[in-house]
Amino acid sequence: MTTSYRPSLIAGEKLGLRYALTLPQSTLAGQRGEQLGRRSGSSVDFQDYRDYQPGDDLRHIDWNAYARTDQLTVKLFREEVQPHLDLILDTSGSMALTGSPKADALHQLAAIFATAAGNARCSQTVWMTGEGFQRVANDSQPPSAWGDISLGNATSFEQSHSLLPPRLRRQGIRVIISDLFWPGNPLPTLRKLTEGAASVYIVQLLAPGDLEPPQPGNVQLEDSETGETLSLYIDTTVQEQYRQTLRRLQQSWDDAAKQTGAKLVTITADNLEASLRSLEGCNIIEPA
Amino acid sequence: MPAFTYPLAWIAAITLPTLAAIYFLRHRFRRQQVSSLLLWQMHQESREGGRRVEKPKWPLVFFLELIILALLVLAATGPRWQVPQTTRPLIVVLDDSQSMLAGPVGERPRDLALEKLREIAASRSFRSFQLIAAGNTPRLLGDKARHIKELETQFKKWTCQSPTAKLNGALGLARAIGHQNADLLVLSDEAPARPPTLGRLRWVSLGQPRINFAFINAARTVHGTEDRVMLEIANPSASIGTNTLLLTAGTNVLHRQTLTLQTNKTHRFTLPLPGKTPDLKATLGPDALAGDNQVHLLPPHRPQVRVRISIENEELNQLVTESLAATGLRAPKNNPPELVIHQSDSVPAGKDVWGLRWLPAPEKPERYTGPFVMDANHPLTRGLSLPGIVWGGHPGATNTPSYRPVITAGNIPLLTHHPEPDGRQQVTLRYVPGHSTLHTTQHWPALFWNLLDWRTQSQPGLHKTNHRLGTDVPYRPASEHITLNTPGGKKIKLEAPGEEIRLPISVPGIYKVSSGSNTNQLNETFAVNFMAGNESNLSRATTGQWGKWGTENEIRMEYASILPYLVLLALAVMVWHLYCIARQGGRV
Repeated sequence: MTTSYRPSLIAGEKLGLRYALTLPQSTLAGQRGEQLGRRSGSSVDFQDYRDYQPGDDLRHIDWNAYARTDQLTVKLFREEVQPHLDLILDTSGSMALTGSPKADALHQLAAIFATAAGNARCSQTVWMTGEGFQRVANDSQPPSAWGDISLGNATSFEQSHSLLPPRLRRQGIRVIISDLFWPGNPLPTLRKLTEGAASVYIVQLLAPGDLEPPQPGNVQLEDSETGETLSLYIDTTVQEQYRQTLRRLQQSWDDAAKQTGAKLVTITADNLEASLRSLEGCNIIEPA
Repeated sequence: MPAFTYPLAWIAAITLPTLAAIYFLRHRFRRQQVSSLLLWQMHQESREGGRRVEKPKWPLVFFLELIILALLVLAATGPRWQVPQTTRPLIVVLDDSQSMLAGPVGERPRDLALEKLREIAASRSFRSFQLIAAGNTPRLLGDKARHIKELETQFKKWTCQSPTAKLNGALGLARAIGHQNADLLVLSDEAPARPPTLGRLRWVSLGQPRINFAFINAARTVHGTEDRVMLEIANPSASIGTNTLLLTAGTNVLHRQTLTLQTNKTHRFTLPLPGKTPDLKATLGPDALAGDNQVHLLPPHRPQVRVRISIENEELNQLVTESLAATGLRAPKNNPPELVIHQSDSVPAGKDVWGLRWLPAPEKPERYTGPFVMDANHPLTRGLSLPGIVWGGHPGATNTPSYRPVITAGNIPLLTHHPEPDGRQQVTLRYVPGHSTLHTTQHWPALFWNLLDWRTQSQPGLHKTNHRLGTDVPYRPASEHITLNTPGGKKIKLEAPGEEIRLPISVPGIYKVSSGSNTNQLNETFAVNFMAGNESNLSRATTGQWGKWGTENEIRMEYASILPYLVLLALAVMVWHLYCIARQGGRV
């Protein structure tokens, strides 16, 4: 990782200490841990009774019930699991837009979610796009100890997914941070990402320059990923058309999220601290 | 075209490129990186903006500001527009002499004059244009033209081949055409004799003093069986010069000489030449004026007259025979006769037969010692003078009616002449050799030479083969139809209802003229040479302007200021500009 983003991770880690990841109680699953799972396990929390079956642990036979009913009944306890967060970062070129705080915000957000997940006693895996999805080095460690998150990949999110999809933990919590700027219908991609997930949150991270078009005049626009240029004379009409196109894109993602049970939140990179309230409002994180 | 009261205000026009530079720097493509061009792939493009453009698009307000600035700058110059009602015809007198061609192409006075004329036509409005070429005689180059561009064909007729430019005559014609209402313009290479003070006359001279050698005289004359060539070369320049004289006959170089001449000095060169030598060409090396660097000298005419002497007196016959022989103009044969010298009372018979009737001597001749009265304009008296002469004549003789006295002693006719209606001439001579001394002087053969030369003048064809450009070339055709071949290869058909015409010669070179029937056609060649010392003198050429087309007050009255209209227009555009700015929310 370039040293310039290390402070962003540290700052995000500090911010994330205030929050904990909101866990969906009903659908959690995972390795043994400290959270109660939806299946039977070895915690001290009673869950149910069932008839004894050969092989059951004799220590779990409710002898009092046997005395009353003369039938061997086994007490079932809630499973103790450790929830898992799959943090998926879009590290394509558009997330490192020159002159914007987008890359810093991406690192901060990732650190916030990872720290909040730690506060919620969740394990975590951080994925980043590239030639297929790859894990960030030392992603199980606190964010300040993570390896490099290389930004500026020419491969888009969708292409990375088709090359090598991430090995997402079933019944885990998945948070996708991206600007969602890729063409095509978002629904197929989103279906793949939400499959087997306990919950999916899509955080659309936009730079101020993504939200507002350039000022009127002659502008040569350069695509941050492909390098392709487009010369335009921008006037108020063109500005308005840009805003409408952005709204249509967000609407299409919102519709796709609703169809797949995901939640879409849009936050602005230049005022991240204020944007965290919208994450709280969506119950993605909560005060620790 | 407008005139500008304050032309220096054009300096303010520098604001125009400055404004353009400001807008260019401000509106050039600013490069901006975006996350993705996905959001810019618009299906519906904006009417005004949004199209793919290769060059920076300049906003409308820029052009409005540019127009405002241009109008204000123009207004600051104080433009004045010529009122259409005050326009006048322009009559241009063009110097048609050869000196207008002096110098390299592009710098010749003719080229500069055309440029000047176009410049004047662009700077001032004229109702019409009329061109007059001032050569030997003034001539109109064409009809009036409404626009200077219509004169291009007339400019081609301005050939500048004339040996003189009679500008005053041309100005007289211009004034007659213009009725005192036209603006007159003279385009020449010399200054006027007196600066014009009256009339609407501008004189523009566009010449430049240059070194020029020129043939100013050239002749090829009969000298017995040989010819004699005389050339006179001058350096009419303001400084000493060197040039080369080259004489060629066909491909043979006859003479080559390097000449160094002081200012206004001439060099005469004579050369005997076999009579059979064809066209002699004399050339000078290239200098400022090419037209006077070459002369052609064709073999001169050797006209002869068939003379029949019908005088019985042997002594007198002998005298006449010797006198005719001395002229060298008598043909060896005398049949059919062209001139009959007789003593009879009757007129010699035959078409084209002239007669010299030598009256027989009276019984008592009278000796006249003068004073003799001579008709100096008569062809027979050319070169004659009779001081100390004793003329034996007929006492009491009177002039016969219809006879024109040529030489008389008081009122006694001695030599008379009667033109016949058919063109023949009858001369009567009262001369008694035994009582006279004229036949013992050199004037006697001169008198006969005059008679025979006069007779040759009435022969068909040319009188001379070498002519000076600008002089008449008389020609007596053998028929009514004449064909003239010019040096440029042009064939001109001429009609000659009379006995003699003047051939239309405008450029130097070798001409061919023919007339007569197919079976008896008369073909002759003659040379025309440019030899004009005054025109070759380029030391007087100068550049300058004289005269005006009216007083300053008159000119001012012809123009009206258009400043208020420009300011009003600028204000209107400013309002438009403000509207555009307001519509764009105050953003430029």
